Amino acid sequence: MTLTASLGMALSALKAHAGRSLLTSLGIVIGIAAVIALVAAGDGAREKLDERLASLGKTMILVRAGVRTDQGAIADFTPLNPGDVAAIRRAAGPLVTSVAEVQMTNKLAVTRHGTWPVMVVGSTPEVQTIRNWQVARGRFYNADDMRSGAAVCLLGQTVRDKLFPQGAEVVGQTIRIAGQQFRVIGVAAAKGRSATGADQDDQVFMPITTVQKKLAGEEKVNLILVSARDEAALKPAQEAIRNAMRVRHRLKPGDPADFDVSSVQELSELAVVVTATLQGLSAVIASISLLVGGVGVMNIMLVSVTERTREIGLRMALGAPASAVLAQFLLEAVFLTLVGGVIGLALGLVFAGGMANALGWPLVIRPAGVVAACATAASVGLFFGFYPAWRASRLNPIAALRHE
Amino acid sequence: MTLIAVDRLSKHYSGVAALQGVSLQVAAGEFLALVGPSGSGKSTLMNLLGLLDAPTSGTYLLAGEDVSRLSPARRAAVRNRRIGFVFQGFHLLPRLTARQNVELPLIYAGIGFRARSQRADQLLERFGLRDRASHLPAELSGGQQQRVAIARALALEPPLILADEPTGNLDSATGAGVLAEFRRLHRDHGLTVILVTHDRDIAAGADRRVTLSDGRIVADESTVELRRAA
Repeated sequence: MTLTASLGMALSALKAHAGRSLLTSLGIVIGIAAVIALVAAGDGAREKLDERLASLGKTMILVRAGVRTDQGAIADFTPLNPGDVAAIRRAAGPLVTSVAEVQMTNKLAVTRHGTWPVMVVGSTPEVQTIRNWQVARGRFYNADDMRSGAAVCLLGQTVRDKLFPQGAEVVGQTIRIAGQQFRVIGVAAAKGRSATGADQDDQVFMPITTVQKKLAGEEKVNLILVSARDEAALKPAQEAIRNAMRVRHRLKPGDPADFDVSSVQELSELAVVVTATLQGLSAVIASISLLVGGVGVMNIMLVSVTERTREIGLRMALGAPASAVLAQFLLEAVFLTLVGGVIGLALGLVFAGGMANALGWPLVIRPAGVVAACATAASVGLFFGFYPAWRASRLNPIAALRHE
Repeated sequence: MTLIAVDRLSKHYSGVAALQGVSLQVAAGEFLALVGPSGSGKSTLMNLLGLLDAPTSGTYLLAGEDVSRLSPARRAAVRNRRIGFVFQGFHLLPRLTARQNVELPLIYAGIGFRARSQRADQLLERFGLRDRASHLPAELSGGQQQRVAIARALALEPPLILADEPTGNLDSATGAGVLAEFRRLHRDHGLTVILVTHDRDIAAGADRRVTLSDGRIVADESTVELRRAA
């Protein structure tokens, strides 16, 4: 028997019950659509996250107070201080190019035109190179401002729009924070949202000395940013920082660290693990749907074999060997699931596209995923279609011909 | 030449004998009617002759080849190539056109698409059904359906035609027409035709009449001689 003849038979049998065939393959449609959409969503999220993390700089190391718990939160213990910064500089030496400590505090900023709650970020001039911050207007604060603890600040784009809504020149103007005047020396270029979703433009930047003297009243460093010389220096620099911090904090060997040293690269790796886990879970859910869909296909194929007993008997009498009958019904089952797979694929792509559009993620479609979806659908048909097809091929032609 | 040589053929169904040691010789080109009341074993004999079933004991030589111990797959191939079946109630597939129904044996013989439809059209033309080739069985009259079934039986030009109550579902005029068709095939093409029937008049149209009862042959007569004697 030729393949085209078998294909023709399978197609005409499915066409004869188009509605039933579609309903039967619904489980497969949903399963495949779920896999395609969720895998694309995971890939898109990962790519977006990678993009954002890369913009932070692949060589950046973060030193934070407290320790990361199992839940990923930072439990606050001993705060960092300027001495830690000096120790890091000494220990890491030539492995790093710059070190900048950061102290942040939330305050209300006031002008004649408005009041706005802001995050005040204090740091050293080196933070500009580590974070690759651009200045849209005016200038960044310098070493002189740092030494004197000058009352100067740069505004993020969001803050500028809230405090000076009429859009006039803001460089040279003053704003009031906690009852004190600060001269605006520049406006930072728009940075968008951070990897965690915070608006990085809703911030006011000033020298860390200014923040400590005028606003916070204490030296409590939240974060130390370190730029490693290159990617190869990343691991040794982290190790050196860790050791120096343990000595400074008088930790005995085996004591848990009360600080956390991580890199953007590690965050990126974590993101990969998280999305892979989510994709793995979605694969499990989709397999359940495919399993249920496959059982549905098996059920309808058994019904079909019973309905067409006389046809099977006739085909056998006219010379169809058992293998031809098996192939015919197997092909029908595979067609049924393959059609479901293709419809599911189309639906999944539509969902993935809609999701990417709504969340501003890139739409990532891996060709291997498309091929795997079709292959999975076809194998579900083969697996669940085998038993009904085998039953058909074992029919006794005489009994089948007499079947009413 | 002997087309069919059956020697002491028996068939038991779960211990009950449906056929008990039947021996029968049929020469190529004979037109034979198998008659007997229901339960006489004529359907069982027909299934064995048609290789739809394997005998419990005995031998069956078809054109000199022992076909009584073949595997199911080999039996299917012999049915396909050497035996043309015409069933009671036509047994046309309702979703297939007349042409596609005629093509069925050709599909299992591995014949390609173009050659198949050509051969089917040629056969339908021979039975005056050329303009009905694309019709579904439901759109054809009883007689036309039976002619499609006969065309299908002849698709691979088998030497043996087995017809099981071919006129059972037809009115007597149409039945006579179908019988005339078998006679013509037998006469013009030298086909061996074995007709299973309970209808005495139809059986009388054959050249030889074999009567079964309780799984045994009880009479084997030449109707030509019977007619002459009458």
